[in-house]
Amino acid sequence: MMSVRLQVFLALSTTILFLTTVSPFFLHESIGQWAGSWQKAMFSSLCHQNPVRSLQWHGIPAAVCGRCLGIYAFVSVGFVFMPVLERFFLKYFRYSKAILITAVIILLVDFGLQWLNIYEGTNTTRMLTGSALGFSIPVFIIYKG
Amino acid sequence: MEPHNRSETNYWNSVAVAGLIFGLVIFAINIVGGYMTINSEATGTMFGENMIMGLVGCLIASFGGLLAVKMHVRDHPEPLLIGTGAIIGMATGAVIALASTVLGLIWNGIDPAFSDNLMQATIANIEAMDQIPEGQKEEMIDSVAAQMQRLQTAAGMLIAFVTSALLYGILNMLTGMLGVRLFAAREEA
Repeated sequence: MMSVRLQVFLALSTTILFLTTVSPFFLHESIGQWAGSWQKAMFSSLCHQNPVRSLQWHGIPAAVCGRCLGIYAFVSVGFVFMPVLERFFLKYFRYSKAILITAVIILLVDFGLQWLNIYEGTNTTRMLTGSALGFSIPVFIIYKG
Repeated sequence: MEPHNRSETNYWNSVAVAGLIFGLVIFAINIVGGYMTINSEATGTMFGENMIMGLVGCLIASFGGLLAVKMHVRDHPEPLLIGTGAIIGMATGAVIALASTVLGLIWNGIDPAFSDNLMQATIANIEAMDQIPEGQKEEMIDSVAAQMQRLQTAAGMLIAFVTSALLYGILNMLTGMLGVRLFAAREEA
């Protein structure tokens, strides 16, 4: 098992990362400010940052697209709430490898179908598939059997 | 013979090699994406060549920790603590950021007009955006130009390096731990 100190560090670092992705909502007043923001620059090599495919708050997009936001959010949720979640779902976490592989496949299928123009995804589907992958990462790291 | 002390296994070689490989790849992707942006017509789309290349770079950059752990485990097959995987991944992320920053600086020496041309191309692309009101467009241009000029100063470069080292560090820390779970022999912490 993972040490408590490492788990606290992971929870803190991934939460800071997630808060950085949504910080443009609170720190910028227009999409013009967002375009030149440090948050956008910081994540520019990590995400396409297409505003149409990003969650928006009062017209300001997050620093990353919906799919990436789901990943960052649920990696953080996973590490922060795992001590509580394992009380209820521990018996399922022993399938962590299967959970991770399933999440990757679902995300790739969603991405591939949109890329091939077979269906037009929404920010909700992107966030859901990203969230599934995001949550499966801490589960795999902590509970891989 | 003394028992092997796990803490003495040197993982810095794996960190350096994996970090340099991925740093070089990220740099190459950024440069290719930059020239694609410079040499293409301004389409007015926010989803340009540079962004697409950046997306590819992202997917690759996140897996530096995985490669470093894989390389380390190949040379040291004994069990590896999950925390050591985290350190290997984080250090690899920092090396990726350092290598791509240094290579970027060297490229600016080779092609001094690259940054200016990229800024001009980016601004031309914003000007070609039809769906954005004029006022907002002007604000975007000012904001992007200021941000790109900041990145050409020493302080701007330092801040960009620190933020990318943190970002790559955290992402590769996660893949470093994934690497331990996937490749290393098991041991209880």
